Amino acid sequence: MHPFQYQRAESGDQAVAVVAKNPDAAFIAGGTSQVDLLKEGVHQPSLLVDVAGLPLRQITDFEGGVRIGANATNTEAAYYPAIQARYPAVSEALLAGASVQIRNMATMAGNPLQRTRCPYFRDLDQPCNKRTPGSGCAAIGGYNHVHALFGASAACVATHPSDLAVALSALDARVQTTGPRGSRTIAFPDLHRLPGTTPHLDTVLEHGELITSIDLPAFAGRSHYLKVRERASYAYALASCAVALEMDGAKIKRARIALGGVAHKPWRATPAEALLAGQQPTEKLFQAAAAAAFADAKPLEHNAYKIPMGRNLLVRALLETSGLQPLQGPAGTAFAASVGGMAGQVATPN
Amino acid sequence: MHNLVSALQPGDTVPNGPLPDGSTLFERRGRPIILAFAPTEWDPAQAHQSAIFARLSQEFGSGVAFAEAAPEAWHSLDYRGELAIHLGVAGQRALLLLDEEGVLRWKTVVEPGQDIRPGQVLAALQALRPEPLDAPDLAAASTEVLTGGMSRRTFVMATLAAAALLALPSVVAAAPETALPSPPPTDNRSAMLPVELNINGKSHRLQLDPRTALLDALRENLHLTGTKKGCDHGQCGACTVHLDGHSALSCLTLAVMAQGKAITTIEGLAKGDTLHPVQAAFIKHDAFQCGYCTPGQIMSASALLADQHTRHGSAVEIREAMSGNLCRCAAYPNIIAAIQEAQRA
Amino acid sequence: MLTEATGQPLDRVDGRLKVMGGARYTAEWDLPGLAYGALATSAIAHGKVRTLDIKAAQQAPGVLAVLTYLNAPRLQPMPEKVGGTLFRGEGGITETLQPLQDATIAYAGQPLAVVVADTHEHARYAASLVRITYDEAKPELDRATASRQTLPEAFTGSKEEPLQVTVGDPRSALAAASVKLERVYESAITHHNPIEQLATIARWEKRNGADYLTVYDTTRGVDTLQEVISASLNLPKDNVHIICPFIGGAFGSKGWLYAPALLTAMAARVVGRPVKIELRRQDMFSTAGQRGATRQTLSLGATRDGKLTSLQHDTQAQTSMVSGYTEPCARVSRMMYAVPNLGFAHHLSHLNLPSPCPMRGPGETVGGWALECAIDELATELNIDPVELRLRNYADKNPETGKPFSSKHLRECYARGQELIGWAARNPKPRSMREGNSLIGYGVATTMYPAARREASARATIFADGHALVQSATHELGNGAYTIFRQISADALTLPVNNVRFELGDSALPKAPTTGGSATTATVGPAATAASEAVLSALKQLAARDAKSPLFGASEEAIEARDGRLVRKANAAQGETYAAILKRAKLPSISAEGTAKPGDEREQFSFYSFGAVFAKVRVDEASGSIRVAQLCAVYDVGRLMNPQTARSQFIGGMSMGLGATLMEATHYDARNGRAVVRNLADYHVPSMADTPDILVEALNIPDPHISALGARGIGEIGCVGTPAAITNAVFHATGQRLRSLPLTPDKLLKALAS
Repeated sequence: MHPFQYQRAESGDQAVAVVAKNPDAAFIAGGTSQVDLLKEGVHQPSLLVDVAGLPLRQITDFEGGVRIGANATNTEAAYYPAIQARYPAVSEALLAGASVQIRNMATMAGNPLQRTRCPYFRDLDQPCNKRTPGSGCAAIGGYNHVHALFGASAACVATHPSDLAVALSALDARVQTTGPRGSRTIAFPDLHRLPGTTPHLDTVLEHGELITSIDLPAFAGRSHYLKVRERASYAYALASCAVALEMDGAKIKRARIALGGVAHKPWRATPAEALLAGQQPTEKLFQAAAAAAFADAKPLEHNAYKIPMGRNLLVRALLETSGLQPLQGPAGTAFAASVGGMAGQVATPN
Repeated sequence: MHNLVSALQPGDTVPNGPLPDGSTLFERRGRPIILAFAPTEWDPAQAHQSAIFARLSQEFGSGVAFAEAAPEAWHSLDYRGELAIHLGVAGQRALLLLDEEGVLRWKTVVEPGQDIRPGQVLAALQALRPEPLDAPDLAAASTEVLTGGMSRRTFVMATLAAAALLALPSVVAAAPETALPSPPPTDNRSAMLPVELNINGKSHRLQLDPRTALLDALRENLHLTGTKKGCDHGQCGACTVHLDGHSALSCLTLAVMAQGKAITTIEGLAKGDTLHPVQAAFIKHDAFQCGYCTPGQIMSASALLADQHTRHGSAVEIREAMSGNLCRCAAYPNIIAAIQEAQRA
Repeated sequence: MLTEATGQPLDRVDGRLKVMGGARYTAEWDLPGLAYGALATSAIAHGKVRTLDIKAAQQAPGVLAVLTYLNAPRLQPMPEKVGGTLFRGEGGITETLQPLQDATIAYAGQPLAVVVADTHEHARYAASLVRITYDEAKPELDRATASRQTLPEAFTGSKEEPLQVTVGDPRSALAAASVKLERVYESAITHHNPIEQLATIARWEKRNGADYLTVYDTTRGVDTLQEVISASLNLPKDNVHIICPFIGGAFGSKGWLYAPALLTAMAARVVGRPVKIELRRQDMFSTAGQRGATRQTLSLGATRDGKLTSLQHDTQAQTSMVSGYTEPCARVSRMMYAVPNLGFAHHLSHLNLPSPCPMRGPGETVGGWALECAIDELATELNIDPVELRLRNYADKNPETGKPFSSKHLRECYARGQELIGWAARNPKPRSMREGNSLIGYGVATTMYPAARREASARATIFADGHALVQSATHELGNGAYTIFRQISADALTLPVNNVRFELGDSALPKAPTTGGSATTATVGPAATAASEAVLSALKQLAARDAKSPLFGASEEAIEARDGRLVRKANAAQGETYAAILKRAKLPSISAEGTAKPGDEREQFSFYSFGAVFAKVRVDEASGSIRVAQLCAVYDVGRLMNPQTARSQFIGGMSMGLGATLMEATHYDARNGRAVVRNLADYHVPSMADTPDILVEALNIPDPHISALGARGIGEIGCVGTPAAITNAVFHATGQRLRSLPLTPDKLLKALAS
């Protein structure tokens, strides 16, 4: 770990001011991602500003939706009754991610800011444009099993690893920030960037811009998250998807779909969303939507499996969200989200 | 309880006290005796002491030492016993060598968590030992006055004391601190931060590098080694502790950021000698093999049972909730059984 | 009479320590003045160091020394053989590269510098400041095109383990067979990944003017490590002391690769302080050993009614440039079925990858997987029930050597296992069973493990207070050694288990081999018994010579031990306690050593354990996810010393087999040989959520020939067999034959698409 100075933030404004004026400064809150990357030497800040003590932990009802303080832990948000009941995709994504210990530590602002699991990003002896701009991309032509199908560039084919971000994207959450240029609201689907020629920038946040809350807008529909992983628990998604459906009687009024594990950001499947709007839900329709969602997928050498996997996953998510098929476990839990379920004979709890 | 033994220095007369057989220390004068206070529990990490014992008996000539010293001259005493309380060493491991006059010749008191240092015992014995070092004709000089006014007989007892010390269950000893090579001063203190950690109800003030993870502060600085390092990156769960009652990974927690939180480690889970129900259930269900991930498993399981969301979980919910603790020995089915037992308790 | 302690489900005697965090593992010894070492490792897989710039590291805060090949102490070459095990050459077990001796680079991750500093944080940071440039050569990473390819003669030099064998004429028999099946099976590189990372603490002292080295190491072979270190550092063996009372899991690692221990000893020498080096998890993927990838070709010839006429099992194994270790994949094929024409070959390619070493069930786990999958394919081909096909080829004697098995009750294992899993109730047709989104499948495989036994010694001491201590330089790595050897010793000494302690993990104790090969119980158990008998013999002589003893004048043969007393055989009322004899003799204790080794029985019999494993799986076809619903196994492993610890080892082995089947694989970049999977987030070891309900039974029939204890080993048999049972169950569920481990979702999706 490179040496750094440590400072406890006195206030949000003070933290922003301190980080903004030092290009090598960074925020730290839950630490689950930051400390890992400090140990790997991927992050080498000279100053860490600890914002964990800032009063940003409240979760409150807000404009018919829910405002989640940046420092609320993943556990607190996942079990918050209004979230579990009205935004089950959020709870499902949180509870199907990481482990109890990590969820107890990780904050809601920190989770979507975690960085890619591309193995080359973490290996300082390999080129990586995201870690060291201009050094090249080792994943292209290398081992690209977990890499992107959509929106990749010649500079970077990494995927974003957060489960939560996929659910927040599908729900069109809003991110409130305060930064050197004042406060602003960012629509969640706009928070993360595509790599382009500057893959070292994961998000549109400016240096020194601090997330203060994540707002879930009022939503009367159903939402659901599904995740496939190589280990039954405590593993990153190979592919995932979040679906938010608003119904008008028997017809779909509006569908929002975000795909995880397939792009540098949660990938909104807009062609599929368009295809579903105004339609009666059927398996056939959903298959068509899934085909549309993946029509433009561009596989690399080792990740083509994600195309059938992602399509099948989306069909199932739509079937389960629309009620054409039962959930695999109680809504708002890891069991609803975990494709394949746990090992053992015992059925998932209901 | 005042610690009488700590105040006693070599050359002091040890006050009278009762031995378990009904006799008193003063009645035993006229021959040297050894008092060894130790817990009765067994600690296999002391096997190397037995090895030193074997080497000692070779170096000092086991035949000579043992033939002359009757076993009743040394006393293996429970460190919770009456004499231990009387001498103020209750709960501590201690070893005292008294000469014929009842004068303290050698003592060592070991704080809980401290360990024997083989080289130090040898060094301490060397210091007691008469010249020349090789081929001493010990048997020929049974009343000869040796180094420091110590009689031949007392010296043999010292040898036996060391042997006893090393052979007895869980008895460990540290030689005087002067025998240690002192570490060279660290040349860079400027980067250190004062950090105060509240661990298992006790406050610890440390000077730490800001980079120090809580896990390393526990293991390297405080020698609370029950919390394990398995991956150092939040990918195995071996380092699980409780922060303010919730399970958390100490490897991904900077020590400086753990200030102000109540930190509980595996060492703080039992109440004295009474195991936490999860600890007891783990033994009963053989919920571990190598034991390395075990403290983390137990910290997760005990937090799970204290948490309203997971307290009453079914087997499949336990599977999910405990998946952040990898066990390469795969004692998983037994861990589930142990948690279910603790759920019923 | 006391109840025999062996055979009882005694709770682990080290359990209390382990649940309280009090068991001390290697990195946890608190030595005064301890300094910390950190490694800088090679970024390339093949070539030479061109320049090493250590200036910044040397000047970093707290740094005491930087060792590189330019300034590190010189080491002697690795010995040819240690304890009869071949170290060097083709088929040899270890890496011959001695660390920091020259500029040559054989694999990525190879240690190239050690930075020693006063704190862990200082050492790690300074190690990141070492700047290395390279003369890079193209790494050899492809088995098929490797320039160095050999045919090793024997596994680790053992005469009992030839790697190239032909019995009868398998090729002609195959050509003539009415049913032929030839299949290729491939397995990935896997890593042991014990949760305790490799660690060493080394301390040098002067004792009477001589150098004396104490090494605390995560080794499961204190005696072997003592030999390697004393030879490498040119020290008298007695001046090297190795200590390891607890190991946080090994599974084949921590036994045969010595670079971390040697580096630590060198670093401590240079800085004149005790030094600790604890590997990072990523280093565990380069310097801690691995199971190499394999490509195996199984050729079976059979009659229409399912009698095997020919079996040929050819393996392409791989190793590093600096090791000859060969995964012995035919270990199951060479003995399992009654087949008159049997052949196997092992072909070894040297690559610029880290050195492999044994991993739980070396050869058996992946070799047995290939064989048992091929047998299942043959059963499908012949339309014979897979259990029935195995029974039709049941071997009563070893097909390679012709020796009868010492004890074999495999038929009972198949029968009981079928009951446990509900084999008869399944629909045998592939793709015929479904629950919800999942296809359901059942599979079976036979399992085995060689029942090795080696020579070992122990010392037993009886104290005047009636307690006893038995010691041997063996190891506790979760196998229950502290517990079962206490049980075995208690029986031999006729004392209650609570009055007996067993100590281990110290090179100063009587010699025992490196713990491994499922041989520890059969090796050290008889040694503990022999030592116990020896000390009782000494005590008998003492009593018989003592005029005050009721045993005075009795011959040793006329005295026996009973319930902690020595009594006359003719009249048990005449006798006294061990304590009484010692106290009267004014002895604080009495000790004796005993040695035990296998004898002629090894010439007469073939020693193996057996078992049958059954798996039920759920396959979610849409995502390619496979979960194991249930595992059942029945084992014939001789007499169990402790059914509770035995069950745990079976379960643990089966779960490791499950991991190898479904998720474990380490990938290296095919261009440069760097590990791209090198942490526990990307290398998936099974979690609790992956572990099914496991039903395990053991027949508990004593082996009449292996030793008086009747116990064979159990550490690895669980890992063998499980992969094939699961793979065969996946076929039953889906109709797809997957022939490449692990069976990750991408492979199943690909198979389903084709």
